[in-house]
Amino acid sequence: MGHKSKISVLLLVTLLLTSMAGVVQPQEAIELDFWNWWGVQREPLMQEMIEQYRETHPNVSINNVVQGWDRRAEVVLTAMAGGEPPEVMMASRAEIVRFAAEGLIVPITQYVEADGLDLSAFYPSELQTMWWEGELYSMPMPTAGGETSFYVYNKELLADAGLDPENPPATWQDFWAASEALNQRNGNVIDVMGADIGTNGNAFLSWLYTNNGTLYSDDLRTVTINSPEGVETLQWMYDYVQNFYGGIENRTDFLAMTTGESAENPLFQGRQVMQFNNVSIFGHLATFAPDLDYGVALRPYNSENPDAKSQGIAPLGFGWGYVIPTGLSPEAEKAAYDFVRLLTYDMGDGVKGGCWFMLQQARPSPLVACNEDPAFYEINPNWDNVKAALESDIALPIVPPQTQILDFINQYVELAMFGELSAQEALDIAAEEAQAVLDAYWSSIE
Amino acid sequence: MTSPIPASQHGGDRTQVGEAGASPRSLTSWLTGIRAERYIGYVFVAPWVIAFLCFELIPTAAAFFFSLTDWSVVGTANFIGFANYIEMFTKDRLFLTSISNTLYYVAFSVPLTVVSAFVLALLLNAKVRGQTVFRTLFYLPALIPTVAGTIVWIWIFDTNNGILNYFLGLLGAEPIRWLSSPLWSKPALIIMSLWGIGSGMVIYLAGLQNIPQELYEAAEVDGANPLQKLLRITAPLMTPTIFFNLILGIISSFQVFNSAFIMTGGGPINSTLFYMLHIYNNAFTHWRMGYASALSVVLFLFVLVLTLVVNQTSKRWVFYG
Amino acid sequence: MTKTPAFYLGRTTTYTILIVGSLIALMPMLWAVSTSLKSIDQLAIWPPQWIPNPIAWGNYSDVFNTIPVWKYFMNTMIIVACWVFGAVVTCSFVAYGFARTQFWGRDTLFLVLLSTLMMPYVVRLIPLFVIYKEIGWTNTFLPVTVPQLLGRNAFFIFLLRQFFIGLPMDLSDAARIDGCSHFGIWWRIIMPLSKPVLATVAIFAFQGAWDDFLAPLVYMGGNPELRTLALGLFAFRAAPGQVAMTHLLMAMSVMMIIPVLIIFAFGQRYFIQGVTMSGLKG
Repeated sequence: MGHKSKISVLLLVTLLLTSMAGVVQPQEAIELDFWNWWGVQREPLMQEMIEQYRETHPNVSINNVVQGWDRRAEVVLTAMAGGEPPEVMMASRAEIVRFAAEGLIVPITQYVEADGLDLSAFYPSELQTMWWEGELYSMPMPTAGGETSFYVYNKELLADAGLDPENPPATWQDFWAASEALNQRNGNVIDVMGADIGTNGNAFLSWLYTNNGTLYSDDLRTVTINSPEGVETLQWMYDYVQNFYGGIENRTDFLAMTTGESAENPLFQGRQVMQFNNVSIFGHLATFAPDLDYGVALRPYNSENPDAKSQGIAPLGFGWGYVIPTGLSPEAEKAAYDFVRLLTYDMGDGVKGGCWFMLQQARPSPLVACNEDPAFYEINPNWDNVKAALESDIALPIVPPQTQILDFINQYVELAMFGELSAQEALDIAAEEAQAVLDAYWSSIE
Repeated sequence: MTSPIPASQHGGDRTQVGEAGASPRSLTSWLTGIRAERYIGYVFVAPWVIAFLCFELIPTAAAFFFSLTDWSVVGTANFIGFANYIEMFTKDRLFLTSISNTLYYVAFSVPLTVVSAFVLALLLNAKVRGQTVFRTLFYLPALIPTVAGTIVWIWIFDTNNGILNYFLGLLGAEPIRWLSSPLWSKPALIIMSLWGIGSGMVIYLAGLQNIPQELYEAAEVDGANPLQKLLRITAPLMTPTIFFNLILGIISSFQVFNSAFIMTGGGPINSTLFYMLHIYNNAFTHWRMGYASALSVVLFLFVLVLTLVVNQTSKRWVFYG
Repeated sequence: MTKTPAFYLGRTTTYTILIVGSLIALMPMLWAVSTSLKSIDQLAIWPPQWIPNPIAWGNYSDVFNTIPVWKYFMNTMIIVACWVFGAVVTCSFVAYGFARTQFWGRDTLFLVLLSTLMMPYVVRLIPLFVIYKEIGWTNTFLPVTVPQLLGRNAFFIFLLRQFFIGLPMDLSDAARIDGCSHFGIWWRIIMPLSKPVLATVAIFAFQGAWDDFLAPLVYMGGNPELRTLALGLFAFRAAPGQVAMTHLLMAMSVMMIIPVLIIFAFGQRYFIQGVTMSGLKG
């Protein structure tokens, strides 16, 4: 091949490349994998939100990857630790804190500031756990609140027992008295359960906060569950379980084949009168028990403790945000942030964002203003109480070794419930073990 | 144990494979044969060795390495010496709980499944009507997908409405709190493991086919009764298969996980917190992968030693034809 | 044989054990079938009913409307094919090496093989993921097929080895005298003689690949196009705040059991071919 032809080949290649560059869109196409756990009836809703996003971001395509709930931890942690996470991932509040602490996800503070978003639009308890060392890592959707702060009750069964259905129990004492009237037990078999107060560590913490107790001291250095309030709470739970269930095993047997989220829920079947549940219950009530006349009331508090009041804690079990892993191109990162914003913040007429997504499921939004939508009152006549429950929520602080601490509490609360340990003993040991973990954490970062 | 096979069929010591085949050919070809003989085995095991080097060696070595660190799954791993091992033996209360739960499970589950699968295989190897149907029925429970199993098993063991308590009730028994009482939860999971004997049965059935029919015919000529045939022919010739089921039973029972993970979550009051569940909780709930690695290394070494011991005893009771 | 009272007693005992035992074994399956024929409302009827009224046959078609069953089926079959080939061909090849050849370090290597079953998967998961990522295999079929094709399955190798050792040595010795190589012995003598155990590993491999969800979930989790039937089941399990589709879960499970059941019914025919010396060709 001669010298000349070599040059012409080069020329041809250059020409070709230039012409192709002209065809390529001015904006580079971005592809975002979005892992989430909004399955079944919520998948088409999510798809609608993604289409809405596409209207403003035609160059971005979002792959909605709905993952299975089972074995979630293995999938999430392997992808994160293995360095191959998706571009946007739904993550629990506890995970967000830990991912942030390890520098695996990007803060969105600068984007939020640039967009001039008003973060006070969220309930304070919702946003608090999205921060880590002065940076915001996500915005919430759905609520982390409304998980422990209220109960749903069957008005008809309450009235049948001679109680006022418009005036449900508001204190531990009323609650106990009502349970006397409602509970029906035949030996070891519970026929009608007045209420399920829960028997694990999370239930204990839920009740603890209605007795003016706390998990940690304000500076997060001390585990405070074995306070007098804590011991009183656990003792009250134990007495309740003995008195009304005839032991923890009877409760387990009663609830064994029921899952909270289906028609098997004993509340829907008239086999349970008062049920502590989270805000997803309203959608399920509409589906499975459309004729049930139900009320919503705040979690009872201990009226013998002058400082106690009804309050919920958020987040205890769940509560989700959306995280963006590090290592994306600036354009992809911005596109991912815009999507997170749509999922969590954007609202308004015809906007299919997080607000709309929650409304479709009859669930409240972490955004205060969204819950003023009159549509909610049509779906749920008890909406004012739901809002009151969300307002009563306070933020439960999260420290990185949270799951270990909650696990200790869980184990020793269960031992107390089985009568193996007294309330005082159980909480003392749990606090001691949890304190050791907490101390180790603080000393490791100092 | 004496050999049931006449010497003529014995074929000599299995370690003498190559040499025993020496044929009256020329000396050189005999020598090359010997040399090739020495290496041919490597060719056979090569595929597995490649898979081992690529996919097993590093992850296993990594577990040993991370056991000396405080790796939190997502963070950096700092070297902390034997701190994880020290914590295990001095501070972790659940370590001992999980060990005793696991030993309890292994002690009952392994002998029960090994023996009952063998008995079942014997029954279904004999000439019975509906042999195929019975074999299929006994294998059926092993086929239920793990994910669906959760619900099915919870229903079977349900205290008030479960089928197991229903049948026990017909026999006049009070309802047993299978999954809600710490007393019964482990027996429940052991009973559940018995539903899976179909797999063991299949392995024994395959093993039974390897026994030359001539031996039985010869024994019948000698007037042996069925029990004598079982003890003198079947049992000894099945020892390699029994050995297999025993070793695999031990290895897998020490890692029992799924049944407790899906049905009890380790409860009530940690009565079904098996060792693997403890490892899992540390790794994927508490994100303490370093500690989980140390727990795993201890399990690995323990099961390895146990396997070696069983293997040593096998020289006395496992008969290879 | 003369039919003595003892004979009839034995027969009765045998059939009693078999009938009672198989009824117990059938329970989980009957419950799965019963649940698969209930509507979502019937699931809630308390106490549970054995025979739903009316029978909701529609659940089975609902499964097809909810997830792409055929796509998942094809994906699963690719993995199944690799597992079965790996078990029957590669693993038996390797097992032959361990059982019937002699080489330096054989018994130690075999112990290493067994030891691969002893390290819990929990701590191997992430390092293995990193390996697959480094060679670009994540979110492809390769992590769930290639290792199986290479005979990574120690369970199958051990099982096959136990059977190969048990076969009389005379056979291969005779073949060696006739100039047959080890490869020839493995393929022409050992393999045909080992039909029962090969059928066993084939069934186990089929079932193993069919039900395996953890490896596909973790190593191909980012690519929903590659999902298998076992992962398809996850769509019917409840996440917190989500409705459990137990009836569809059971319908899909029942459908998933049937192919394996057919494979088993065919495969177990090989369990009646005893080894007879006369059937051997030297």
